[in-house]
Amino acid sequence: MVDLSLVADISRGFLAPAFVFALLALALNVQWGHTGLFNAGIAGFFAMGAYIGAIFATAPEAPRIGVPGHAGLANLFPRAIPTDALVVLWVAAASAIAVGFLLRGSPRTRLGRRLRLLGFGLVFVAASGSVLRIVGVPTALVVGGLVAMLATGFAGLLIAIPTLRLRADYLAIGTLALSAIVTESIRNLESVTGGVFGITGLTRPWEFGSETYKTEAVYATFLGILVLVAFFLINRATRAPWGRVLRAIREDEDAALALGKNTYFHKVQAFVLGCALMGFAGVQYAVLLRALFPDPFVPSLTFGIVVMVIVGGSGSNLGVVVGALTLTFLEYFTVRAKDWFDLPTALADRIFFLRLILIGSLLVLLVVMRPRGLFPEPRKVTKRPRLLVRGV
Amino acid sequence: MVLQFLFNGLVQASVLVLGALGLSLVYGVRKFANFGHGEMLTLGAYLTLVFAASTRNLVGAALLAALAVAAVGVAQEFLVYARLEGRGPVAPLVASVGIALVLQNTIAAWWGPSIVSYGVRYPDNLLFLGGALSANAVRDLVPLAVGYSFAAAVLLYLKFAKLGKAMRATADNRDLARVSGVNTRLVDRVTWAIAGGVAAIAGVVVAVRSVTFQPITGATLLLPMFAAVIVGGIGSPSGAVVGSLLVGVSQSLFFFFSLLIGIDPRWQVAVPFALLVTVLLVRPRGLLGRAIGTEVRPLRIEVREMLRSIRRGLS
Repeated sequence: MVDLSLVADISRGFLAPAFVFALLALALNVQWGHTGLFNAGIAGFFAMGAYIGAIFATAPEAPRIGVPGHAGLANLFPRAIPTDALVVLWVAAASAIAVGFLLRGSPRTRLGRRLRLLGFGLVFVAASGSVLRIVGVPTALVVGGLVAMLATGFAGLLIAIPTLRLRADYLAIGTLALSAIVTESIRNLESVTGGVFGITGLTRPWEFGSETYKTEAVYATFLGILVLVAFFLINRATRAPWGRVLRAIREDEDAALALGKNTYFHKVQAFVLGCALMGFAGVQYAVLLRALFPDPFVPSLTFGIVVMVIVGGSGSNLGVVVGALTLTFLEYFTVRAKDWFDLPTALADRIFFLRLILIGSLLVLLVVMRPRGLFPEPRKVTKRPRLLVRGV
Repeated sequence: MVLQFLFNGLVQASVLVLGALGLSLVYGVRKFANFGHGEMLTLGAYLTLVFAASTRNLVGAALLAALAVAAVGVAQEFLVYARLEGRGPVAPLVASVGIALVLQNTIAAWWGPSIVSYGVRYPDNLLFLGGALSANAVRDLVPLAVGYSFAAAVLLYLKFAKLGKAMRATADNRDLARVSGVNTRLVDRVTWAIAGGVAAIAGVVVAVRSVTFQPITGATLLLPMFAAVIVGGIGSPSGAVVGSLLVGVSQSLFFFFSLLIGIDPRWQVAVPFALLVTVLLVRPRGLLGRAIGTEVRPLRIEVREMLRSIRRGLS
């Protein structure tokens, strides 16, 4: 017989946050691992997503004495995703594809190709909408997730446009600044975010009342599936020619430019995609925590993710997921070590700082000794160039 | 009223100026953004607290702490950054993030995460110009004097001393400096020593100015310091001074106007960010900076090409 409270604790304390951080690590891997763009403001994008998600997922709360209340949009949406909308999406997808194929071979091929592309995109949207409807994710969360991705992507675009044409460190400074502003705004905009009182009372899509272990395990599984989907999509994208351009930019931007690639635009794309995924991860985090306060969104969160990416091997999508799981386990272990072992109080009081010291030293050591991470990305080019002329 | 806020801005800038100067020196010579610079300020403030406890002399303790933090800076260069030579700007930046984490949390683990203070007694405010200007001898005038005199000393050193000239030469073109007989290794270490020492003094100034400090004090100053450095021109020491003045004074004036037109004055923290983004958009090299390494194309052209690629991609 498995101890059910342990199942709940591991799901809640280790697996679910590990999957959220894996999403962040995958996002940073697109930006930093593949393209070489260092994002020092992960916490900001993550917080933005989390708060947008929380505002969509809760009902508004009026201010009371001493408590600022917060905004909420959950009442605007029906609980279940409306079937009519899904039917419209499916019909639109089918007709776009059908018309696209009918136009094949005619002089309007370009229009046909566009329509087919649109149709397959709509199929993806409609299919994921239907799956979410069947498993019972509320509309408000779906809309919140989309809005969060759009908003964080847009914030990423705003910071990317001025900085990405400059040297790599300007982006780092810019994102650090943006993150500081976002976290500060969250504290200041009390009527929207609840300030330090936060937003409480989020519900998960699947709640099983007193059977906590079930609630936690189901949500952890859901997050695991999200990580799988994100992993698959990002793996596809980064193995495609698009991803090759990103790696070319990372290795030698001037060479990529000389080969006719619009490096600036590719960098903007990679950065914005990563930011949107961070916003999405934020929504999942808000739902996981059920109550959202400004405290977790500090720079050390950002740098924890950086360590996850570099431990796993920046550039390797599988590696960074493993890195996220390992590092989150380390965190879980340090938090629980106080309860499991009889630590001297001097150590127990400081274990939080010791973990961050460990993370920092790991970061320095890895950058100096193993810059490609513990599990480096396999070389994509042969070591010895083949000689074009034999016998020289 | 405006005069008072201008004065406050000048004092605020004197807090930033020493930190920004060190940041800019390291950027100029070592060519990377040091995210661990704020922690050197914090370390200086805490070491001063320790030394002051045994020597009972805040000034002497601050100078000792400056020496110690200078040594910490040189040690960083020796152990980490010298090994990352030729690896581009991002690798040392990431390492500096790691060093920041280590320093900040070591301080927190050692001296505890809560706020501390030097316990200096602050005299009553003095009134100048017939009461139009109120200033505290310790809280306002000491930071003002210490900040600007140290900044002037560093600038004069760079201008006239032999090593200072070597530092400027290395910042300008490392290879050219080396073939001209400049010992660039030595220059790197001296740069770190100056940056560290000045950072420690900056930390003490911050602690005296804001009465209390804690392990994250330096980290919260990192953003305004970076803003000052970029506004003034990254890698340009005199630019760092001008940038600090701009950031400090505009923060203080923002505070003034926020009181006038009723914005929440806590938005003050957004002022450095706004300045930073404006400068990056309009004049990325900063006010006094020289052209940055590779050629930067105007934003207009980049965005036009981007839109063109989007159109092409859709067809």
